[in-house]
Amino acid sequence: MSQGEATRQLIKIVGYYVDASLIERVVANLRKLLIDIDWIYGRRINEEGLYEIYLMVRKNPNLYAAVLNLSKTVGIEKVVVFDGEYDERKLEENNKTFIVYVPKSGKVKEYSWGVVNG
Amino acid sequence: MKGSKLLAETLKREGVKVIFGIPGLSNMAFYDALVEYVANNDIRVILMRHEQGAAHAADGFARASGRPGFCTATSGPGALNLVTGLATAYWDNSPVIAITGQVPRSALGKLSFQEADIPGVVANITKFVVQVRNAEDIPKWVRNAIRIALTGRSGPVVVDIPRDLFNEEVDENKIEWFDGTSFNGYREFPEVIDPEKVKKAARLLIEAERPLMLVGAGAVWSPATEEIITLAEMLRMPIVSTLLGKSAIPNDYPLYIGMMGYYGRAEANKAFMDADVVLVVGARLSDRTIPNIRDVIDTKKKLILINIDPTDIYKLSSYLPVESYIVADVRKGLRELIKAVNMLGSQKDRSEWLRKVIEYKEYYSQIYYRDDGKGLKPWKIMKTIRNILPRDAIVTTGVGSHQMWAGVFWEVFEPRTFLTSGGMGTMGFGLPAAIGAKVARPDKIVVDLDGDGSFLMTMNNLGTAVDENIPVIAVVFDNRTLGLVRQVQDLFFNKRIIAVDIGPATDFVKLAQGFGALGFDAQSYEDLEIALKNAIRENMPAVIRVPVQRDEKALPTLPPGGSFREMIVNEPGGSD
Repeated sequence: MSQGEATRQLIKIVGYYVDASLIERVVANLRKLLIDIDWIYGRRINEEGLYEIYLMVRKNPNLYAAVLNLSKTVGIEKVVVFDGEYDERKLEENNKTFIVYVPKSGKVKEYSWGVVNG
Repeated sequence: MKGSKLLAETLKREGVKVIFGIPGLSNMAFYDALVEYVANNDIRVILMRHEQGAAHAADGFARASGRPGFCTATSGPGALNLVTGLATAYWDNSPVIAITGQVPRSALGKLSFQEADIPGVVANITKFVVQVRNAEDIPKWVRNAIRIALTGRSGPVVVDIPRDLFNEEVDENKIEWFDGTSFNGYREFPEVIDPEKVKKAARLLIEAERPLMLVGAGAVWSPATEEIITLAEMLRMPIVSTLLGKSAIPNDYPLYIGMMGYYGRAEANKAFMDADVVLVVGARLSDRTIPNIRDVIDTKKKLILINIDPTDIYKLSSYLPVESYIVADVRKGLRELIKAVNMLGSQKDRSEWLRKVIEYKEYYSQIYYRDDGKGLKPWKIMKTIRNILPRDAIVTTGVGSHQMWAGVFWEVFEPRTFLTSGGMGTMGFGLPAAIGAKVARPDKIVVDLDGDGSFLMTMNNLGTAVDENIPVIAVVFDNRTLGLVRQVQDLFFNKRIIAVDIGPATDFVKLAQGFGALGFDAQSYEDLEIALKNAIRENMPAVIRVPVQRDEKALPTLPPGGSFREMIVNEPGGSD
């Protein structure tokens, strides 16, 4: 278990899939504001086309603006910011090591179309 | 029913009356389906001369009417030519809807003829873009497009349709006549009218020594003229505006000082600097309105914001002293504030503050309204035109010195009668936007105040105005140069003038006549008056060329990134 590094920030975007442009829109919102991404993981979470996309981004003064912009992008339901804290677990499977980042649910802020929770 | 007919029928059912565009291979089937709708006078198609003009015309239509403006283009170059117009609409929150043809689904990704990834190209310069996958979904996406374009913070939407869908037979039982009331992942912003925040805002304004209201484009879209005046009267509070907010308030209203900002009126910028509490209504405080945020912070201003978009408020609050806010449409937010001020009562004597504002106005008037006899003066040209046009005439502009002169000197009296490209600063906006505005409001006189450089970028659409009998008048401030760029080179690049001057050969009168429009060469204010009256009387497209000195500056201005403390009001080296 480790503490999230101060230079990185975990965010989750929940959005509806119309086509793969959902991922483009998410990434472009960060790219436009010069925010670098260390890794990205996403999956469909229900039958109505709702997806969650996790991104580990490099901290950047523009991140707040990017989160606000994302939170009002058509197709995106909400943006969750994990306040930098998550558990890092190693999983061994088939002789391979996977690192799984498990966000701590207690410290989150959610942004959705002008509504901020947390 | 074929997909193309389904699209045309959807547009008719949605009340679309006009589409600006150019047909080509990938939207040809759509045009074919429109033949009957045009014959029945249900929908009018207007052939523009370049797709940029189609997007600007749709934009002008939307800004003049408040209704969505539609344009269409074929795949590849056609749709790519819309890009500048779409970005212009996005930056100024104009509800433009573009229907673009795309190569057939089987041809995608093969560098096919006229293939371009339009969803990829426009994703970041529009509010939304969708590529339709099934013909039966066409109504759903058109209705979604209209709702997304018009609601919340309005903006352009693109519906990209592979052309094989136009030819696809659709089972009418499978058509999704979507009701347009819900779309996953899209919501309007919630209103946040917190009584405590409203009360705090009212108290701040009541207790302020030098309150000021700054009105932006949101006050025009709302519209909120009556509420702005009511609150200003109650608090004896002067008003300044952004460039796009100019038409939110009659410019001859005594408490209106003028447009503030980078090229704003000096007295408006001075009043902003002096103000202790500023009520910002429907403005996002761009770098054009407040070029240097130190001007807010150093003067210890308190800001109160009314904005429909809460994320704008959160962003501004992260670096500016926002004391209170209301998340709502401008009109509604102002009404809440008026109620609160009424309840708390306002007794403060503001005569000293108002006297100071009047002194600023009088002082700078002596500087602006000068005539050294060297050529025609922009302020006097504007005044001549203003004296002839009725109060409700619609004026568009291009981008350049003439636009800044219009910002400073043009008097606007009614909402939606001053259309200009603010956020994107798109040269060539003026003429096609005027065409769109005239189509939307045929009862109004529509005049494009343009510059020679700007006009030449989209003047081919004059042919459209003539063919379609759309009587717009373009007044071209002809200084034979890209004046605003030249001015920056002159003032801030050590007079190293390069690549801005236009040669003497271009003849605007002959150009106008070549397109079948009226052409006038106004060598004096009297000529201008006669030409304009003639153009109005003839009720046909016209171009009036008005010569302006090449070195005529757009003042006041600031150094790049400069503060209002560094305003340049006089021509450097000129007489005081």
